[in-house]
Amino acid sequence: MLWYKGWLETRFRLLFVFSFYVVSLLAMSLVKPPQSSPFARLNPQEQLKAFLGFGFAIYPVAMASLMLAAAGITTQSSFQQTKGLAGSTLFTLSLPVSRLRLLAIRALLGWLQTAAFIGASCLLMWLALPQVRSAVKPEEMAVYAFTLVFCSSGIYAIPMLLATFLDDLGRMLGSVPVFAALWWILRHTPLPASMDLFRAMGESSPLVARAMPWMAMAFSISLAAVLFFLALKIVQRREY
Amino acid sequence: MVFRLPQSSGVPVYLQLMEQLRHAIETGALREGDQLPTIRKVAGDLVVNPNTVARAYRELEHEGILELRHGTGAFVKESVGGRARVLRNAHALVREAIERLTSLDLTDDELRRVLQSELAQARSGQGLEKIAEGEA
Amino acid sequence: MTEYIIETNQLTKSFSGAPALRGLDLRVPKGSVFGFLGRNGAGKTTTIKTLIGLLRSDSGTAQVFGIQVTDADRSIEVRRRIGFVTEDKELYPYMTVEQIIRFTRPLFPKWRDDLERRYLQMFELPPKRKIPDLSKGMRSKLMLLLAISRGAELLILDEPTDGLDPAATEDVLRELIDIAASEGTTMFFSSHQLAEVEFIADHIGIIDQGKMIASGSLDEMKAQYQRLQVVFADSVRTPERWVEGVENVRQSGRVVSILVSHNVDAIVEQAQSLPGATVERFPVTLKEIFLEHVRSS
Repeated sequence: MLWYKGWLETRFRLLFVFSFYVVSLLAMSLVKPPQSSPFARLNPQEQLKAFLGFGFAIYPVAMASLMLAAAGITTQSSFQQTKGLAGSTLFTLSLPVSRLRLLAIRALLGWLQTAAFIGASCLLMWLALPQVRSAVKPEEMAVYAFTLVFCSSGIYAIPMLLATFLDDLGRMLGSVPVFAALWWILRHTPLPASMDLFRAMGESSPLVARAMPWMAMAFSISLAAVLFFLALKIVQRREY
Repeated sequence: MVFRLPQSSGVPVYLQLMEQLRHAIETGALREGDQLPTIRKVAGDLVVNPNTVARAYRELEHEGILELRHGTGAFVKESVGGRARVLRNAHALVREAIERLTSLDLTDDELRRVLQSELAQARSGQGLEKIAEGEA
Repeated sequence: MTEYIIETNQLTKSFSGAPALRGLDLRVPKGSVFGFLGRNGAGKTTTIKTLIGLLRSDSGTAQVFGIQVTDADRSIEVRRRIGFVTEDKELYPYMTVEQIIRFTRPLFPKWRDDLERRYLQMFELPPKRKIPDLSKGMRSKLMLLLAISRGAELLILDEPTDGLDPAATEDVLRELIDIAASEGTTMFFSSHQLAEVEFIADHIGIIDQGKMIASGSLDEMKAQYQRLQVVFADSVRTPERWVEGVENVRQSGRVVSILVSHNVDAIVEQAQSLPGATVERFPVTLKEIFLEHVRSS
C-alpha cells in the first residue's frame, strides 16, 4: 500500500515532467547550434549523436531527477497542496513501518519513474525525429536508454538526499549547484574519465563511443547507494 | 431512563448516581425486584466512566438497597419495599408541613435553610444557641 | 504493584534552548482512562510525540508497554499496538475515506472489521469523499476510526474532541468509554474539556511548564480536595499559619474561602476553633483543581 500511496503522491509530477519534455523536444528539434562551436566540426552523424548525448540525456535526466526524487517521506504533495504536510507526516510515522522502508519505497519509486521516463523519452525521441531514426538503430537506442538509466542513478540520488531535509523548492534549487559541483569534480580532478557519468551519457555514450561505459555505470550506482545510506541516516535521526 | 445526566458541580458522579437511584426508589419509579440497566448501558447513555457507575452500584449494594446478582445484573432489593413505604409516609408528613408553612409566606430557599438548620440541630444535639455562646 | 502501560522518568526536552519538558514523571496505569491536562504550550504534545518516537528526549526515560521508546528494534512492534490521533488531525489530502482505510488496514494484523464497519456507519463517514473535503469534525472521527479499528491496546489521543460540536463530542466520548470498557483498551488523551474529562476519566495528570504537578486517581483527588467556606459572625480572624493541605485562602467580607488539597479534617478542626466561625464543606470540580494548580505554579 505504501507503493500505492507513493504513486498517488507523485503521479502528477510524472505527467508534468513528461509533458514538459515533449514540449522541450519540439523546441530542441527546431533550434540549430551555433556554427563556431566544436559541435559544428563533427559530421552530421556525429553531430546527431553528440546532440543526443547532451541535449537529450543530461538535460531531461536532471529535470526528471529534480521532479521525481520526491523521497524523504515528508514531501508528499503535488504542487497545489501545501496544507496538510506536517500533520500527515506524523500519521505516517506513527504507523508500524520502519523509516528505512518508508524511505526505500519512496526512493525506489522515484527511481523507477525516472527510469520509465528515460525509456519513454528515448522511444519518443526515436519515433518523432527522422534524423534520429536514420542514424540510430532501435537496439542501439535500447542500449543507450539502459546506459542512461544507470548513469542517471547517481544524479537522481542527489535531490533524493536533499528531500530528506529540504522542502520541494529547497530541494530543486539546492540540487542544481550540487549537480554542477559533481560535473566539475568528475571533469577537472584527476579521477579517471571512465568514471565520469556525465560523459557516459554524452560523448562516451554507447551511441558515440561504441562501448559500454561500465565504470561510469558502476560509479553512478555506487554513488546512489552511498547517498541513499546518508539519506537513511538523516531520516532515522530526524525529529518531527 | 432512570438516570439523568450528571452535573459538573464537583460532587462525585457516583454520589450523584446513588442519590438519583435512591430518589427513584423513594418515588416509586423503581420498585422492589426491578432490574437496573447494565453498567455499560448507563455509562454509555450518560457518557461517564463505567467504573463510576460500578462504584455507585457497589455502594448501594453495600447499603443494602441493591442486589448485584453475578452474571444477571443489578436488582432493587426486595426489602427496600419496606423502606420505601416509610419514606412515602415521610413525604406525606412533609407535604402537610409545607401546606401549613405556605401561610407564613417564606421563600423556597428560606424554607430549605430552616429545614437544614433544624436537621443539623437535631443531629448534633447542640442548639444554635450553643454556637452563639462560643463567641462570648 | 500496578502495571503501568506508559511510564516516564524525569523526561527532559528542549527546543533550541527553550525547555519544553523539565523532568516529567508520568505513570499511566494499564486499563485506565487517563486525562492529560495542561495549558497550551505546557508540553502535552511534546510528551505525546516522545512516546510515539517522533521526538527524542534530551534526558530521562520513557517506556510504553515496558519497552523503551528509544529501542529501535522494538519500536515497530510498539506502534502496532498503539492507536494515535494527532493534534491537527491531518491525513493524506489525495486520498478518500475508503482509500485511507484500505491503506491503513494491512499494517495491522489485529484489525477489527467489525469496529471499522460500526464506526463508518455511526460516524456517518462517506467512503468516497476526499479527505480535504471533510470537515474538521469528520476528520477527527476518521482518525478515531483508524485508531480504534486497528485493535490497539493503547490509544494515545491528542485533543480528540477538538473542533467537535457538543453532539459530536458526546458521540466520540461515548465510543471511547465503550471501547475502554468492552475491549479493555487503555485511553491516554489530552483535552481542554475539563467537564467531559471529569466524567469519563478515572485518572488524571496535570502538566504545567514541562512538569507533572498533580496526578493520580481522579476519585482520590476529588475525595481529598475540598472547598471550605468559613463564615465569621463579625470580625475575620485567620490563624498565623494554616495546617498542611491548604492550597489557597481567599477572603471576601466576612467569608473566607479555603481550597484544601488534603488533610481536610485537621483543617476543618482548625477553622472551627476560630472565634465566631461556621464552617461548611463543598466539593471541588476538576476545573477548580486544574486552575488552582496551573495558576499557582
